[in-house]
Amino acid sequence: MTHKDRFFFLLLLPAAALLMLFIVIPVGQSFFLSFHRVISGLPQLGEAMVGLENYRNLLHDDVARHSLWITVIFVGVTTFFELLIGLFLALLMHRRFPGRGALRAAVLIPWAIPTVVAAQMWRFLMNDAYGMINYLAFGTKIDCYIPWLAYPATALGAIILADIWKTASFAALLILAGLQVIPREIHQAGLVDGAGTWRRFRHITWPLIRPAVMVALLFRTIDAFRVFDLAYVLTQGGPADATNVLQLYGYKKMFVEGWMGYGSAISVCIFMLALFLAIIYVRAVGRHLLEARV
Amino acid sequence: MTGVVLAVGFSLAPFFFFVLSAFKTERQITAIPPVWLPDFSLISFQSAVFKHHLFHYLLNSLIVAGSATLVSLSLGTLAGYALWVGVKSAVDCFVLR
Repeated sequence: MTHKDRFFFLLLLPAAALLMLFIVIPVGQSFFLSFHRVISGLPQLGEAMVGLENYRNLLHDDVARHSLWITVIFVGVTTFFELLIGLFLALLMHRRFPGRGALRAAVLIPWAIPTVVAAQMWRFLMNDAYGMINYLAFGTKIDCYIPWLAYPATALGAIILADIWKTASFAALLILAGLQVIPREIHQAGLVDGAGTWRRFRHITWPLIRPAVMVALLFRTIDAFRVFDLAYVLTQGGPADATNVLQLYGYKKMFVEGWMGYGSAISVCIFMLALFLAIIYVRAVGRHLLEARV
Repeated sequence: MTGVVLAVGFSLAPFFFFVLSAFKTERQITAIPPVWLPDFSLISFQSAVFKHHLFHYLLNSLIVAGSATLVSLSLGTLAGYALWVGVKSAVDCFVLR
């Protein structure tokens, strides 16, 4: 190791130690627990090593399979609409017009609100007795009011809606960053050549912002997989497990029912899924990013 | 123009209703039809500050956010410099390939 290498190593050491302490060790502990039978209410049982028993049980757990499907639906629908609305918002925020700054501030407000607060807000709006959404739909006909959070389909729709509302602006922010590096001259050249709005978008804007959209897709998919707070505040996983997303299921198994080992196995599976997605995306997107930079 | 109205409505309408509720009295919050022009009562704020110690929680948030920013920025700056200058090619191979 040369003198210079040792200097860089020293610079990296504090950050690496912090990551070790707060990421590697807890994740490692989850892996460890997932191979043991640990029940938090019964410490006298100790931590019996059970090998793959937790994972075997997970394969035959109908609730877990249901949770996986719920999570996949949630991830798919929210990511799709967030990217779509995000693209629309980004194109809007990119245009030059008086009040653009105000528009940008307005669009970013949902993203700036803490998720728990936003979830509480949506719970209030979807209340079955005095919710704003019921009022907008049915006026003062109180007997028609729908308890949105009490039906399986609408409850899932509710957390999807809340998530789209909250994070579409984050996708917009990422796409806007991509839009801003497109030189104006290309658009002017297209205009001179007689290309219409759609063709300029299709053949100039879209190819150039595709890396940014891919990055937004990556962030949103992985983030959506980790959804917890929205379901926790809005529905607690109910009704009838209709919004029991994987994270919430793992949390319930661990901290409500006390199955530390089994809950850890669920966490490890979510971790693996997210890692798998991240590797696929980064392999696909990373090259684009590198080409764009070089 | 329609787009701007849609975007602002989409982002702000739910939040606007939330802010409005902050200035309502307890009866007005759950009223149907909703009260569009509240009394601008400060009773909720008073309760938050004096009965529920809002500033104490604010201080907690400030301490957490401040120290987290400080630690991650300082350690991240050191590590970022080392990664970029020192082992750039190695990291590219590891992270992006």
